[in-house]
Amino acid sequence: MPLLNSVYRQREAGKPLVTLDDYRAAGGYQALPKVLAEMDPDDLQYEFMRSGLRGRGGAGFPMGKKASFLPKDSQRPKYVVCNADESEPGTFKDREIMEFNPFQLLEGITLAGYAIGAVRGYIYIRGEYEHQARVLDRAVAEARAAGLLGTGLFKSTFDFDITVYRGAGAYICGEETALLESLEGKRGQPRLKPPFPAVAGLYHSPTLINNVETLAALPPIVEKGADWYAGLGTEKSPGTKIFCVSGHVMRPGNYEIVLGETTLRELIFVHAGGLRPGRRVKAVWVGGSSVPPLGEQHLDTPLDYEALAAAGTMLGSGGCIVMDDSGSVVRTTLRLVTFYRHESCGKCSPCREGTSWMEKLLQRIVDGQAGPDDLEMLKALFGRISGRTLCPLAEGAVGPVRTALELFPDDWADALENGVPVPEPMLPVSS
Amino acid sequence: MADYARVDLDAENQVTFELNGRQVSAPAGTMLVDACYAHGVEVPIFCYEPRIGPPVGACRMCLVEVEGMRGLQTACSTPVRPDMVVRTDSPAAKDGQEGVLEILLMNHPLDCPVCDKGGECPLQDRSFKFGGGKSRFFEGKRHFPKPLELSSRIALDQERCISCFRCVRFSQEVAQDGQLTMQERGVQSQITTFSGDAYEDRFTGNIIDVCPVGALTSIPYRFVARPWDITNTPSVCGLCPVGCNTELTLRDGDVKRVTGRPDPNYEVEEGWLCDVGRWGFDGDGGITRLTRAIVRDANGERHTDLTDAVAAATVALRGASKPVGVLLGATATVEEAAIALELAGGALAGARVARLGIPAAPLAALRATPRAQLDEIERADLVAVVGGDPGLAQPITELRMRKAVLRNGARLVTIGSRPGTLADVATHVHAAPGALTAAVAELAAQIGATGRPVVLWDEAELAAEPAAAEALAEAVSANGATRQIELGADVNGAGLRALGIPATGLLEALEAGELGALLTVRADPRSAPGRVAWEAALEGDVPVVALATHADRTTDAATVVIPVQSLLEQEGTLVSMTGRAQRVRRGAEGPAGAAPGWEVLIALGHHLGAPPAYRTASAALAAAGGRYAGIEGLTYDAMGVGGVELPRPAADHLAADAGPARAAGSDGLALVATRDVYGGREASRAPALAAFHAPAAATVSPATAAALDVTDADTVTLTSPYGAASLPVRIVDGLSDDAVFVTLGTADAAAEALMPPDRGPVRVGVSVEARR
Amino acid sequence: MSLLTEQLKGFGITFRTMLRKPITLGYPENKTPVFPRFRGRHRLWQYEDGLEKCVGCSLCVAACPADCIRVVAEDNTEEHRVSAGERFARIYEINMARCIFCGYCEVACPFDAITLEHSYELSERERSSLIYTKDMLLAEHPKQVPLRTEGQRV
Repeated sequence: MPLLNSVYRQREAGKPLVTLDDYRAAGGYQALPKVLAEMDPDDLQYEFMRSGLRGRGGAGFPMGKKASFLPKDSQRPKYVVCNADESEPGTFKDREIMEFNPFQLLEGITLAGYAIGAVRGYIYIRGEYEHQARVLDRAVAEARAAGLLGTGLFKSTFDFDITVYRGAGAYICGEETALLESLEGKRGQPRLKPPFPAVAGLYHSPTLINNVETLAALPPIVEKGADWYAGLGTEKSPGTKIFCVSGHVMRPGNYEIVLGETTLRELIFVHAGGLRPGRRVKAVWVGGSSVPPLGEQHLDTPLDYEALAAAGTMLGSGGCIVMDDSGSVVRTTLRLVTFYRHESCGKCSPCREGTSWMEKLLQRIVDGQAGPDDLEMLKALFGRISGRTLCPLAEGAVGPVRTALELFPDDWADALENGVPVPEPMLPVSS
Repeated sequence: MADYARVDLDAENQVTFELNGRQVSAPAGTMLVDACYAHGVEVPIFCYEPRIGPPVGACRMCLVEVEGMRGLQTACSTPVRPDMVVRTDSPAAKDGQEGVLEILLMNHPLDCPVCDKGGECPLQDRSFKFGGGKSRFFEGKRHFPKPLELSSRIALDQERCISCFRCVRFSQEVAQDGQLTMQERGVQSQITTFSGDAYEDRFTGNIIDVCPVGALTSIPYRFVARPWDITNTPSVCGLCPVGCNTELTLRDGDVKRVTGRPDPNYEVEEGWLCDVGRWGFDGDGGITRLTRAIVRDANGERHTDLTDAVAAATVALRGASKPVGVLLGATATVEEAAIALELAGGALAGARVARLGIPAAPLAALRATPRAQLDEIERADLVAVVGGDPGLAQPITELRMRKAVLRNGARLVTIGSRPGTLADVATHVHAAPGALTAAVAELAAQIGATGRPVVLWDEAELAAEPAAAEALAEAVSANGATRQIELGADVNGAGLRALGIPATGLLEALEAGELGALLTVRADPRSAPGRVAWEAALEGDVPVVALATHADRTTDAATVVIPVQSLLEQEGTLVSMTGRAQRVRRGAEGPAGAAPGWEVLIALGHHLGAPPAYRTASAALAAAGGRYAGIEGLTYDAMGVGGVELPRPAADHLAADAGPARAAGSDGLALVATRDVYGGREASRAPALAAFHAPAAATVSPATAAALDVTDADTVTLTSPYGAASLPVRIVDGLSDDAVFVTLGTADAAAEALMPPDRGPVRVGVSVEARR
Repeated sequence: MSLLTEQLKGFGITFRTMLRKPITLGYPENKTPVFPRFRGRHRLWQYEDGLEKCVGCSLCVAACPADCIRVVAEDNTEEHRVSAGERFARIYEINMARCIFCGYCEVACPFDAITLEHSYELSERERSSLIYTKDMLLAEHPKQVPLRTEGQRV
């Protein structure tokens, strides 16, 4: 099925939309004046809800519903926070939005701000996205100069401004409450929930947090109507979603597809150009490294939330990592667990210590110094970590290992026997 | 246990739920862990500590099963709800607890035999009670360099840390010194100070008490004893008038450690201690400690035993042709004061008894207004501090006020000549020395407009401004909901006042030549405010019998010196500034040559031929409790372990206790005598605190310094109508102009030399003695 | 009758014993051999490099039912290293007058630093000499006792 570049307006336009003029020429900033002139915030919120747009950061929670959780009668100021801490391994969709289509994000944040009555929006961008942060800074300055941010937008009474805040390089700050802590200047660690950010988020005020892709999807929804958006894709998974295909494919990159219309096979073999000659698909982590992998037998799964859940994985952030049969599932699993051990914030014990334990076990398996007992120990650990932590990070570390064990038993048996040889060439992994 | 919050099972809004198959109830909003504990079910915890703040759910130790909720829930952060079904002992809940323990112990070193916490370690206890008993972890453990010095008093063993964040949260949310933080992340997380410097402030030792493992241990107590080597005695700190409840750790007849009570007194210190209270006990030993009695007569000076000294004291006191004076120091216990009063009524008939302290008359009306204990601060919506700097003089009160502001959103107002340690959370209303009255009038308006105000007032500063005290008394009583808390100046001042002992009269009588001898009990008039006047009055041949723990100016010149036991070594009763009578208990054995003060006084009675009818401290107190209205019915049994609040004094109590009008002087700067926990003699004696001991200084504002043309570390001579002192200059922002601040209780007793004996207002002239 | 038989029975024991070899030993030249597991005087042990095995943990104190052990620990420093870890026993005393030789200290010791040896000659002229200090316990006891093998009769 063809691509539909609704969020990736720059692809539709055929050039980067990094100046306001270019973005306007490509149809930008039509939604905001229309909304400010014609709709009141509640209507806009209802529009979002009707569109069926789901959060694109990973959890897939309906965006409109999330916005409706903000208390209407709060005395405190409200905030929109854009989660641009795109740190999930294999995910690089937001980066392209911010780099080539920043104004659509700004417009989306402003629309969300209007819908909930916010006074300010924050873009929390990961520290490593230095160039993207500069692009955003320039875009914000340009929008502000053009009166698209600031007081009395489009001669309405709506005041709104956006601040770009750069993180310091922690995966955990992509978790919404850890992001808020970091944004407040504290150590980035998840908070205990409840209260949820919708009630007590940034500076204890009602806060709407959404992913870059989610917020950037708002202008097209307003332009073309919620019905148009809801009509795309399946009933429960409407709209478009960007998949970031990486790994052993010929044409890695971002592909915005309509949910439910495309299968995993089409994504890999049609859009991403297939594998290297003579190779077969070994494993695919469809939604970033935190989701359970799929095997070759799952290639015909349609890409939408429900179908992927039925296949035993999650759509997640859309970071589709493809590995062909030259790779080792066991070694990749170790590499992923090393990542989660390194990125565990250290607040809650099962994650802090458990990821380290898992890594040590997997390292011994890879080194060929483990026995069946160690595999059993690994399995026993899942239950001791999973479901007992403060945030989903540990879940993301456990899920892929658990599924890898189930889907590829022969690989593990072989690893126990012989270890996993170091592939050539392999760069050292620093952690 | 301090680990769990108190639960009022008789409160109104009870919620009924099922706990392990029983129907139980707890007030709505109670966290499940606390509700369970109140009903005898222990849910293990590590990070939860209600005194520090709201739950953080970090350790995941308190996992329980709640029917209808997916997975296991952390009981520390789940409030009770009606009809919820909770199981703490189901296989799933047990697996949760076992699992978390196994994971916590994964990197925890098994060095319990050398760990100071071993034997009194919550991690040990809970592993034993809730753990699986066996680890399946065979990999190498995590290693850090250890032990590290977090400060010269706190050792950090990072390998033992289970990252419960209690210490970090204490630093950030209770003491609010903003120093401790976690560095690195994940399994490499380490506790450190933000700046990398040593963790030094006034409340740092509490992190040792809250640490649930052996990661933070006390360096002075390092390897001193194991829990089975020691006995613990509940006692009361005798270093300031707050009266924090402490626990003394004893080994080999010595106090080895002072900690907060495991079962805190929520009306006083809430389990926290200041560092001086925690490590100041060391100062009881040391080279100035009196270990043998001294008798000075025509034949010179001789060291002798107690019996001989008491006999010599008897001769000295009986030989006087005129009445005897009895002077009680701030740390004299209620028993000692009561026995002294009895001697004055019998064996030493006609004796004049007084205390070293502040005259009671100017404050009588204020003391008669409704009073509160410290826990009332937490319930207040407006907390006002009138005068003083409680964070330095009555340290623990600061933590309550910070809690009121941070956790309960109370408004905090400080009124006085300096912003003090609460400056970061309080609105400071400046009032120059002598100008409190106007500020109090302003405060009165605010008090009237709030629902539940608490006023803390400084005894010394309000006694110096009786008009302000009057106005404050009116303001407090005008609003029926207002409560006042005295920020006392003297450790047992309230106890001595309760016995009706005045602060005035004795010096005047001595100056008039009316007294034939002086008996001092834990009193050093030669280092007390107005010491120059005392020295002059004692210049003649008035024999002095001194009962003291340490050598001081008075014992250096006394005729008979009888070493007495310190407040760590003998029984006694102290009355805190909020009127709580609390028991000090015998901990250390003390030097062989010293006896309890009450015992020495009883012995004196025997020698003087009018023996009291009792032989023990408890009987002495019981007898006094039957005689003095202020402590009516007070016995050791009545006080129990947490003390008992005495009735408030009447408005006409000690109405005559006012000194003669003394000249304040009209020239120069107003003298403000301040207190500093680290500045006192007790702190300077303790080895663990010596490094923090601040030397005496003449502290002035930058504007005053400019007016005087002095800079930091110049030496100035201060001169008042009562005496003079040479001090280095220190310049501090935010202080009242035209005033000079000098710390009381320092070794050179500089402030005391400048002050009048009744501690009234005084102005000092300043001249530059030496430039830096 | 019965009286007579009783008497004969009694004398029988007397005569039988008269014919036996005497079991008296010429102590102290000859000593009663003890079983290998006999619990006698304590011994503190060192590693081959001279570091003491005892780390001053006081677990023996906790285990001791007679309360006869006293340990006071101190920090090891680089200049003055006594044991391998952070902590060592500055004072290690056993009051032999109170010890009941139950061996619980040996069981409790996590470092095998204390064992009960075979020497049982522990008499002293002064009671205070019965408090054995660390130096005494670290040294090999001069009075050795012969061992007997399992099942050997004296």
